[in-house]
Amino acid sequence: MIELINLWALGGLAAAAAPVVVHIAHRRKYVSLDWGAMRFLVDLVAKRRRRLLIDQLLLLSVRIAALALTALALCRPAYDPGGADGLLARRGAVAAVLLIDDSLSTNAGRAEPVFADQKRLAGAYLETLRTGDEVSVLTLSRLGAAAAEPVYDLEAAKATVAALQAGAVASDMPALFEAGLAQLARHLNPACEIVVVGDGRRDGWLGVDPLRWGELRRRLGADALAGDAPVQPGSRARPRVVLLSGPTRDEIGNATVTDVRLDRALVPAQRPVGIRIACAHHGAQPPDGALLRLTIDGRAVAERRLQIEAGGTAEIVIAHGFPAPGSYIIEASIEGARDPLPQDDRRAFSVQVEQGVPVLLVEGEAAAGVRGDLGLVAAALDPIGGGEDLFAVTRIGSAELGAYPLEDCRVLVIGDVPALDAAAITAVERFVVAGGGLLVAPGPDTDLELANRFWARGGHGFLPAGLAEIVQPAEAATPGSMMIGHPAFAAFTARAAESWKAGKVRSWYALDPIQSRDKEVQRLIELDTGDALVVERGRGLGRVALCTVPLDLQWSELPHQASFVPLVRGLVAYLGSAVLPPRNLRPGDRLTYRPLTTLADLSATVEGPPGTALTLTPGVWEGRDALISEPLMVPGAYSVRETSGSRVTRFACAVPDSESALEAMVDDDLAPLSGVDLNRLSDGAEIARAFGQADRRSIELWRWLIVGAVAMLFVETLLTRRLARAEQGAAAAATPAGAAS
Amino acid sequence: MALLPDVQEQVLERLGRIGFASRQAVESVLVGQHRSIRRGLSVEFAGHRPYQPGDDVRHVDWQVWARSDRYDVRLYEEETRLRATLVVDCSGSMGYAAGGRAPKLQYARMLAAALGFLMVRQADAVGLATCDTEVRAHLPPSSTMAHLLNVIAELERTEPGGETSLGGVLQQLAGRLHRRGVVVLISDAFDDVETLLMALRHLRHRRQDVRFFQVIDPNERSFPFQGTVEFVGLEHEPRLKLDADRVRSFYQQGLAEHRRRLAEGCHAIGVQLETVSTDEDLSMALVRALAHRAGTARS
Repeated sequence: MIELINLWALGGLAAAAAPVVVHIAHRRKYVSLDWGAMRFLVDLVAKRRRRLLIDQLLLLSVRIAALALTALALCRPAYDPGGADGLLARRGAVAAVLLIDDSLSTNAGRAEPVFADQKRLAGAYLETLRTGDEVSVLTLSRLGAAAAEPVYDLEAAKATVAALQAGAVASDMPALFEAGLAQLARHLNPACEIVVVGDGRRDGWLGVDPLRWGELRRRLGADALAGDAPVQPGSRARPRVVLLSGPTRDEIGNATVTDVRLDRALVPAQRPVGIRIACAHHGAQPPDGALLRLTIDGRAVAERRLQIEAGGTAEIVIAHGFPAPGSYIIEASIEGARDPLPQDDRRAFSVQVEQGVPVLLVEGEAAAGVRGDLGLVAAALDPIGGGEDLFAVTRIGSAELGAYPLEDCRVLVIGDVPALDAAAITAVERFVVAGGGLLVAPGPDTDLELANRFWARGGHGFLPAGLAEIVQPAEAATPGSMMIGHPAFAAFTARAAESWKAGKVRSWYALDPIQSRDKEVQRLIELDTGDALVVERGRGLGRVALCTVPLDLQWSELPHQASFVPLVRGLVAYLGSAVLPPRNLRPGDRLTYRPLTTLADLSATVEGPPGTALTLTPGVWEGRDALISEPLMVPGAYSVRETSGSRVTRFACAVPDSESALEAMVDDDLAPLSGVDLNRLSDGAEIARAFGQADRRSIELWRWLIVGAVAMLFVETLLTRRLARAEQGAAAAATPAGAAS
Repeated sequence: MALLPDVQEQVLERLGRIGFASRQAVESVLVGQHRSIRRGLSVEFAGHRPYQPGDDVRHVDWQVWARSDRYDVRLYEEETRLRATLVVDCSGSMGYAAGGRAPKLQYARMLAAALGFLMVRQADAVGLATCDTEVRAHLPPSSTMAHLLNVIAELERTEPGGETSLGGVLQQLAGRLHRRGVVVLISDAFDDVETLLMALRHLRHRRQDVRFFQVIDPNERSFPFQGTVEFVGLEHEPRLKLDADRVRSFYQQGLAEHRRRLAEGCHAIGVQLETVSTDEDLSMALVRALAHRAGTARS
């Protein structure tokens, strides 16, 4: 049986028709001329017609054959006499793509990490390859990097595997397969093998979108079995998948810090902040005598005994006050757990402690004190004034907004403003998309039509939803449900609704369901009538909240309620809490630092966990100049220090919380790949048996076809040279005859 | 009568510039080859030979007998007028022209006119026959200038047409030539060689000295065409669409073979064959041909 490896090249056979086409075109394009010595032409046609025809056909055939053979050679036909035995018999030279799972969990192991087993298995597989086989080595942690070309140097491939180290990224087996299939397209050899070298942990295979697995199954040729002509396993249409994972280790359990967060969206200086540390345990035997230690910028500030049940979770809250505004690293670590995966026993978190967060209040007319549309909001945010507190408030009239430098603000609050001019609307749009926070509270002065047309724009503007009519029921409403747990409502408890009972709302804007994108809009507070009171939507890098009543006393008694102050402060803090570029990163992310000055005046150094060396290179982030590092590989704390000043910015790279469960994979976990030519091998001897005894009987024919094509070209040269020689001979014979006469 | 000024300008005046040697060569060729062995008024001593029984005793040279006691007979030759017939082929193939050159027939006309003028100037008689498949026109030889002008006028009237059948025409012409003379044949000779040679033999048998000028266009030798060419015959042959590059060698072989056979046949029967090309200067071609003939005659 002959198989065409590069089936797509079959179209090249059309090139074989080129000589015929050229011949016909040549024949159709002619000149006509009168000729005296016709008797010689008539004679030669009568005598040599057959000879001319044969010469022409011969030359045409040879040229067609040369092109056809070349096209066929590009198709790389392989002859398989059949009868190859063995489960993993290879047909022809191997194109092997090694996909090495170097996720965080591959660090697990008491004596040595699982990753060492994986490298041995990969080495054993490479031993089964022969000269001429192609190899690519891809690791999960380097999927984002540019893919290298396949190599034929097996020793180099072995050295590459030997030099690999376990990473810190989260498992993503579908992504690994997708990268492997993409890399396979770069290979030329016919026997295609995708070799996944994993740690045998089941979590990497679970929890993936079934549609994604379905697409992978199709690309791996699972449907090829269902066709009329079954595709050979190991072909390009149905690559062989080999899963290499060592024997399951009997681990006693693994404790991990799954989350570190603060109970405030914005962290003020010199005030106690609750640091919530979530821990989890996987396995049967809980840690005994383990401690949870909290460090701030490397200094231990608290230590608690970790009490957690086997397979359970625990949350520990530690109050801490940061002395001054600035960038801090909080790191929680479990000490003394003696579990097989120490890398997930600690987690870092970057915090920006703020003071005087600039908030711009925009009212219909500029006012002072508690007067004006946002006077009560200003009092709630900055009761003392002067910006010494968490917020520094500035109040302007709506007419001044277009010319105001919004890049100096973190949060913008628009009160009962009748309308905004075009420049102001554009400035607000840019501000939000670039990461700013916006709170809009329209009131009776707001022009409904203009707001819907220019602020909401059918759901495409900065307003989270369009405004419908003003609702004025006979009986006033009160705030009803509230999204407790939302970062904006950290100060509220589950009984917060009780505090709003006296807060009568006499009028409010109903939201226009047509001009709202319900899936993106989140209702934070609802009235007891079911209408929304506060909704929120993300836009670009920023967030926008819409309050359906003005934040003064015109339509409601809300500002008179005790909850008004924490509500306003919570909302504004939440809207202004975005720290950009992000400082809490994951392995594989790039550290991005945006300096206050221009890049030309700046040089900065990075300090990371021990053993890491990072450099920052100038780049662009969201259209702005920034210093960007290569992808982070090691979890932990990173500090960027400007050499020209004392500014230090701290970043945290946290371990993925999905890598801590070390439960072994079972065969059922591979169900998403049903139908794929999947072979699971677990030790070197098994690999050698599976591949070493397989006889490669397939013979590639392209070399012979190339030789044939070259031979045809040689014959063509001979024929044309013979014709040319005959022509020269005739010319030479004709010349003496003329001269003799 | 446009041909005469052309001949005068392009041939005769240039022959005048060629010099005495060339003119002498021309004249010696034309005259020296046609001496009569008959006695006449204008006699010239030709030599002696031993007396044989039957010789007229009046021709015995007694002075020789007195000096050497031998009976030798005096021999005389009569210098008489040359009777030349110019045979011009005006078949269709003679109308071929290429590259801005004159058609072969035009070249043949010029050649015939030049020869006629030279011969009449030497008091020789010149006649003309134009032909394709048959003799189109025939003017018997005469040595008067007025007759020459008639010859030239006839040449000017001649247009190419018809098929080549030179062999038959020459056979027909041979029957009309009763007296010894010269036949100057001007043609491209694109005819069957055997038939042509047979006719030439017939002319020779009729005591005609034959000089054959084969007129060829340079393209007919080199066949310089490329790609696919549709050849349209000038003598009503079927059209042929051929790859010129592919058939060039075969065509040139065929032409060379035809010329070789013609040259060998002419040499065998004593016909002087001269090939002239239409890109060749007519006067130089004339001198070359006549000088070659003179050299052959002397040797």
